[in-house]
Amino acid sequence: MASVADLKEKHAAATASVNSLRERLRQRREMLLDTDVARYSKVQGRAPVSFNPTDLVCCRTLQGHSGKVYSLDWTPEKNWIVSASQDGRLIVWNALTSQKTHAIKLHCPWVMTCAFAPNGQSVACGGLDSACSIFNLNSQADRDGNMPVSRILTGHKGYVSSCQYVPDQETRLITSSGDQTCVLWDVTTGQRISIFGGEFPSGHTADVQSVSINSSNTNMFVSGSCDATVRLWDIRIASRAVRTYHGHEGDVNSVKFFPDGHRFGTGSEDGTCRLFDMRTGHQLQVYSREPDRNDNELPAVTSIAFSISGRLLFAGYSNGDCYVWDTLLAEVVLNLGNLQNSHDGRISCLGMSSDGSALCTGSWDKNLKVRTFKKRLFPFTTS
Amino acid sequence: MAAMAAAPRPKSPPASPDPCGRHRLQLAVDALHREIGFLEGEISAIEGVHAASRCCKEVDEFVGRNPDPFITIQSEKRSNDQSQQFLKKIRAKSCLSYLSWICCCGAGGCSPFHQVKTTMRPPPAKNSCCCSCSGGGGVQLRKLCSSSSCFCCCGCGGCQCRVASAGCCGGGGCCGCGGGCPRCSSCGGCPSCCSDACCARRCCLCL
Repeated sequence: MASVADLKEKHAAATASVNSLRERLRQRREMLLDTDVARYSKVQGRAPVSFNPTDLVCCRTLQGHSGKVYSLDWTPEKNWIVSASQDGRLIVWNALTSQKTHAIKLHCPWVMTCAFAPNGQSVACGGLDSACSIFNLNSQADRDGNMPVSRILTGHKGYVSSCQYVPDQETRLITSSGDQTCVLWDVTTGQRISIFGGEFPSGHTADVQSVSINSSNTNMFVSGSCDATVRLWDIRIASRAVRTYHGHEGDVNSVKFFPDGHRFGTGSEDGTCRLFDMRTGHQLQVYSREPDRNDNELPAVTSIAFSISGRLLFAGYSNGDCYVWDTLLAEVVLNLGNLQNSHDGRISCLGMSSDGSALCTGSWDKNLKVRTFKKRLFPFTTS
Repeated sequence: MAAMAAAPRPKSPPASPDPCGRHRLQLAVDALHREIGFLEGEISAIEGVHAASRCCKEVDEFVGRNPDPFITIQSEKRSNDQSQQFLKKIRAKSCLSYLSWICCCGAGGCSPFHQVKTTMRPPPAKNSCCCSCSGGGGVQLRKLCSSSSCFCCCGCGGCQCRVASAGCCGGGGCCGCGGGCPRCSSCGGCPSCCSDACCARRCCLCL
């Protein structure tokens, strides 16, 4: 049995090795970063995107929550949205008509995330109760008018920060948690299929804030954490992360796969969004806003979404701004937060409809807003 | 009188290893050794990794290929019209450039050699072509295939010089150009067989 003195010596030697290897890896990566997306696209003569302030129309304001909106999700096919709020409710909206189809009172009001099942028949939510609750939207309300919960997924040892159904699989759901893990669940049995991180090595070392599943390859998902990293996971191999992506200097609040399935975007407490290449690990672009005149700290990025082509990156910030970035040229083309009829508070969540025609934003001002491109108002002109 | 017994003195606790501290230290060392293993794996994996420019190219091409409900043709074309006028001027200058290897390409993509300005010296080889594989009508030389057995193929992975029997198009589902590969004229609805949209679906030979 090694003595404490031996172990201390081994610890020091191993720490030195780790630092040296990290430096070698960093230098090798730096050599491979011969350009970024903006420099490349400019050389290619890529024309900039330009928007007039009136091009993105707020065609629907969804009012009904009595507390901050924390999360939203679109159905994969219909134009329905589910939102979760500090008021302890989930509301399901018809985004075309603004009508509320369901208002679900939650057992635990401290909800942080919600998601629609692929078939649009169920919704999931989670929060400070450290559990994920599933509601079947076809269920009958009880005598008090409350919708019964159809399943509660318990097992996390910390708050549930984010949840997403595996695309095209009604029975599989991935959650992220303040207990530093992500979990893949079987919704029908309530069982944990796999745990990503935690006791095992190469897991996150701080709260996990966000997950995004690759719709091109649903075996892969990425998670963003307060340890300032993003990790790529293969759901078939829970024992270790496939890759870890460094670069951010603060909590990674939001991760989203790029439409091509080979890249993903991130939004962070450090005020930047970044684009990473999944397979190589390269950081392809940083989207960094200019500091304000008073040189205050940059507002945090709370949530991101890509347009369907990937040309636009929508980023919500903690000060109420919602920048529309040209992903290829790394330029801001519009600030939705400056437009008429914009939110009055922090934008906490963003979501793009599955056909890419509408963007929904949720805010601490208790509202959700649906925006489309002016020349493509259909089907939102019909109501 | 018996001497008074000495006052009891508390005994020092027995010297013993601190199991909790030792255990934590062992766990920390184990974790570091695992981290070393992962880092060594990453370092050897990165040896085979291509540069970021290839990823940037893929991003640029993917975005350029796909329509977006939030972006109309007008919102780009307005800028494009102006930049195209500018580029035409640049092209004209380039084609008269002393750099004989610069050639002019049409906005439709790969152009056969005869579109190269004849004022250039030396004249390009018969089976050479200029390819603009970005789909945006950029003016850049891509490839001159000097061998008489080469064809210039554009699209998918970029411009390549290939012998007739070798694979024509780069990755993304293109098949080989040998045998029954359709010629450009039969690419069916594609504006140019050297455009990515065409080569992604069928094999083309750039004539």
